[in-house]
Amino acid sequence: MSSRFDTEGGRIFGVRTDLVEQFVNTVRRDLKAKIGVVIVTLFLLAAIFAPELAPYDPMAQDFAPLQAPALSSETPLGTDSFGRDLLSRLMYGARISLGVGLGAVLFGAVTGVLLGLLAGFYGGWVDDLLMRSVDVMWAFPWLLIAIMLVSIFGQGVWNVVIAVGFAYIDDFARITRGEVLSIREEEYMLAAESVGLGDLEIIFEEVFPNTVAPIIVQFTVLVARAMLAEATLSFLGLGVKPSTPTWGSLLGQGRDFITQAWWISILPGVLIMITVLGINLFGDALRDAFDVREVDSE
Amino acid sequence: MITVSTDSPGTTGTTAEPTDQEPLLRATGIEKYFQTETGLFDRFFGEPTHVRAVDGVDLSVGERETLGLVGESGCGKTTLGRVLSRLYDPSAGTLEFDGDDITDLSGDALKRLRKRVQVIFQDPMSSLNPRKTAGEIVGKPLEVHDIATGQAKRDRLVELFDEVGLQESHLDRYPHEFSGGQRQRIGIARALAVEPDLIVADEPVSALDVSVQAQIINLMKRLQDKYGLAYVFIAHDLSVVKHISDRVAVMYLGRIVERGKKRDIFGNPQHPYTRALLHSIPRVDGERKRNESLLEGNPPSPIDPPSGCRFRTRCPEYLGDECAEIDPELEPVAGASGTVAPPERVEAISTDGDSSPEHVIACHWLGESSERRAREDPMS
Repeated sequence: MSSRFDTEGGRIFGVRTDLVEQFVNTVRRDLKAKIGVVIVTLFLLAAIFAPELAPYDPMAQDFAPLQAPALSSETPLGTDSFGRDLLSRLMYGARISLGVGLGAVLFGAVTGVLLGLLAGFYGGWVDDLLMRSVDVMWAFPWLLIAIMLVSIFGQGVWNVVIAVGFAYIDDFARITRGEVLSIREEEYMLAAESVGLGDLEIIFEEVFPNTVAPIIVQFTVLVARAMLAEATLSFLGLGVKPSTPTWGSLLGQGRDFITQAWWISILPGVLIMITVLGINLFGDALRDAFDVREVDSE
Repeated sequence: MITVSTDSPGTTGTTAEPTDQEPLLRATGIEKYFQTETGLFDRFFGEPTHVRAVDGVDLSVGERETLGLVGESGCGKTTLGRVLSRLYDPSAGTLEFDGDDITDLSGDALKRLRKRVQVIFQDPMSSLNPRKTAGEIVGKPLEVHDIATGQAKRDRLVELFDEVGLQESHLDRYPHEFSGGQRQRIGIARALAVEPDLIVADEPVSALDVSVQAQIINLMKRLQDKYGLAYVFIAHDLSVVKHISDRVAVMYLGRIVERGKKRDIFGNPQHPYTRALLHSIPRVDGERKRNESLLEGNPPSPIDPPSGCRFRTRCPEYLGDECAEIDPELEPVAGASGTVAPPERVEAISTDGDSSPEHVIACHWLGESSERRAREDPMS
């Protein structure tokens, strides 16, 4: 009898070990989950270790411009219009693109989920106040809000993260609130109260874990949108510094040469697509691992 | 005794039960109204409407005693149970526990009360958080009330699981891996963990198979003897209550209509509603046809209860104006002029027909002459 109970209280970076165990099991069993994990891991490693792994300085204009990709040459993925190595630029670009993509959604998720939990749990005027303020965000296109935030706080990675993530607060708040409203009707809420738990304990121990599944799905969908949003901002010159490589800015710059040098636009585009796919598969695996019912009934 | 019933003139505080010693829990004039959901327009211009789920209830539970609380769906018994366990705040009335007023407790004082009053819920699936293991669910009260942690907590959990008929290996399983009966055992273990004095059991067996019902009731009875528990046992079925209760209260539309010792209710039922409920218990011999029910239709809406006696719209003994105009109060049966002999079809626990002093009913019928009652008794 190997007891998970023996490891009760065991946590890795704040995550319960039995959940980690379930996640590993899900990945082991499911090919799609494997693909997702491989893609996400690979891209994250490439981004984190870009300075070590990239063959050249992404800013150095060392080569002939507009060279087509040729795996045997010095520049396997070709060069851009300034003669910079595209492989190195893509690897460095992954740092900003993944960073902004994940960071922005994380910002939106943490803020939105908190609002949704409070609004759904307390109801009444708290609900009205929080959700009506969230509704106001619907009145503005996200791009206008992002432009406003960037022009107030200036350019920079963190400001882009917040500017992009701000637009996702309402999505997370609404989803979470809806979940909380249905969970609030469950008898285990009364049971928690009768046990003597306080409001915060009930919100974070009883309610929150039961809202996780749709939040994860929304998270993975939005990461893709956030990467595109970063590309949009970069394209408009509102993102990070124009010369800094990001997938979005590479894609935008390549646009001018699309007829002569397709690879400058296509390659970052393909990378964005693969990343989005990988994150979605990864998210599905996470969701399955969190869903105790599904995992155990198989 | 003070009664806080504001807009139900028929209720007075004089019907609290006579008991020899101070009861563990005493409820006086308990009311619980829910405001109905209203739109924006109604909120500003309309009259607020209320569902009178519990509308003036007095009752008490003694130490180590089981009070059975019976009534149809929607009669307010669950709401009353939640008020008694302070999961809901009463709209009016007072609650005393062990001599202390607990009506307005909050914060730490309420938490201390939670250690003495526990709840077993109706739906064994919904009352267990699907993302927590059985061990976590039952262990939570031990943590919250600083009873045990670490190895001591684990030992206590094993002991508790053993007590309710579960095994140590069940500690790590999730609720959906258990059967309904086992889940209810987890719910019982959770309630038992803090060693409370009183457990409010809200239809603890209604969702279970009949064979499992008996097991759970026997378990609860055994735990009561061992730990000296008092129960408020809520059910919609008198036959369930019969095995475990010392005293029984019958509810109809937010009020208690008859209350007494078990032998009063089962051996000498006086209120037409109680008699109808007893009559509706299925019998093994199949002598009675299915449609031969004394009760017709559904209970009226608790938003707008009938004038006078609330049961009059369905009462087989309807007497006329008196029932429609005057809201009957709980009055002792003993000494009343016309009590009827126990009906033959009801399996009598006591056949002498005498009522204990605490046997009370709220019914105008009680004052009628024995001849008329004998003539019109539908059960004889």
